[in-house]
Amino acid sequence: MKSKYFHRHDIELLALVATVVLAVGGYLLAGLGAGPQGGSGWRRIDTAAVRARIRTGELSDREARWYRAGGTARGRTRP
Amino acid sequence: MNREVTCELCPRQCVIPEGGAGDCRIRVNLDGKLRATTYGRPSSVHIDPVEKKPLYHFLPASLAFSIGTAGCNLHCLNCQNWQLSQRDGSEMERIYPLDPPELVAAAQRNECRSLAYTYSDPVVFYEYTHDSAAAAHEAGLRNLLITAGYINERPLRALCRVLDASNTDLKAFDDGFYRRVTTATLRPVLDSLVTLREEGVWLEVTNLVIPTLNDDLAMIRAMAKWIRDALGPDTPLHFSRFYPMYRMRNLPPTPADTLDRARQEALDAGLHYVYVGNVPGHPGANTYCPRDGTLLIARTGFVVTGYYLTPEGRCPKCNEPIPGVWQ
Repeated sequence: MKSKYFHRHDIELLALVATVVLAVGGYLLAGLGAGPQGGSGWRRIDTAAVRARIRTGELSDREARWYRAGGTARGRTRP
Repeated sequence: MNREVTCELCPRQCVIPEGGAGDCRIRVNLDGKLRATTYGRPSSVHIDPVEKKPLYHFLPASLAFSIGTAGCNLHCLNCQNWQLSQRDGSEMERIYPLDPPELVAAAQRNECRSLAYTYSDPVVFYEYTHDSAAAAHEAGLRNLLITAGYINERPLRALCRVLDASNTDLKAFDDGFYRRVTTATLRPVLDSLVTLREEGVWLEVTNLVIPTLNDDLAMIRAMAKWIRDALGPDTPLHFSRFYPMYRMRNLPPTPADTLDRARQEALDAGLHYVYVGNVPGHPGANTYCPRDGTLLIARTGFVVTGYYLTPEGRCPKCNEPIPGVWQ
């Protein structure tokens, strides 16, 4: 590919720069999402791992107090 | 079928779908029931002097059998126990099987006079704290709640029946600070402090002073006045030194003179017992008689190096009664 202003290696360089910017931006956004944030929300955890540890007795399946069945979906999922 | 549950333990009021956990990570909805997954399964177990909590007016120089489990309902940027508090039970390398009777027996074997629920926040392992505290009372041990106080009123009042003392953090007298640094809010913490006082739990308050974030003297003065008016002037207040931790390594340790100024502000506001913590050898760690200035209890680090109160808990010179639980 060749034009008046861009040569092939210019395009490759721009593509490389764009890829790096996207990668760094994605990493930063993921970090912000994982950081502490205000407000209420439930978390997605490795439930299978929790169940496995309950089966071996390392964790407990004791029923909690101070909760009720149901609820309106609100808040956000947290990683 | 909707098997969501709503946790009503803390002000977050998490609505948790089946298979999910609360914001605290350890209260898990399994099959439509909320499970306290760290009940009887602490990941941190230590024998600490009660001064480390810090509690300075409660059984000085005694030992507290101290436990904490994974999980927390706050996410402080400066958390010093983040490897415990910011993980769920399945992520812990070490879990100790210590159901309440075994916990009490371990405390007795190690000649501890109290159990301390601490390190992460006992609010999130509420059931374990409650049942252990009840068993401890039956065995003649005391119970210490070391907490950020982010809990709803009804569960807290129910827990107070089995508590003897609490050191509760008041992290700043500023809701914006709470939201930015801890992800919690201020009002419920103030309410908890008042509840603890109303329920007759011996209460001391800790304020970790972080440079540029909550070291404004006007805010410290307002906080001290609130404590004086809402909790009483005899409420011990600990100003603790910040060290860079976790996600807040960009700030320096709190200068000692900042802590000195904070202490003076609180004394000027009318509080009688104001301490400086995390500065070994600082005279602000000692207890002085508010009437005549007599040294009553000398401390270096977490060690009581001098104890001059009368057996009745009075100043030996002027006979002023010093509030606390001394025996």
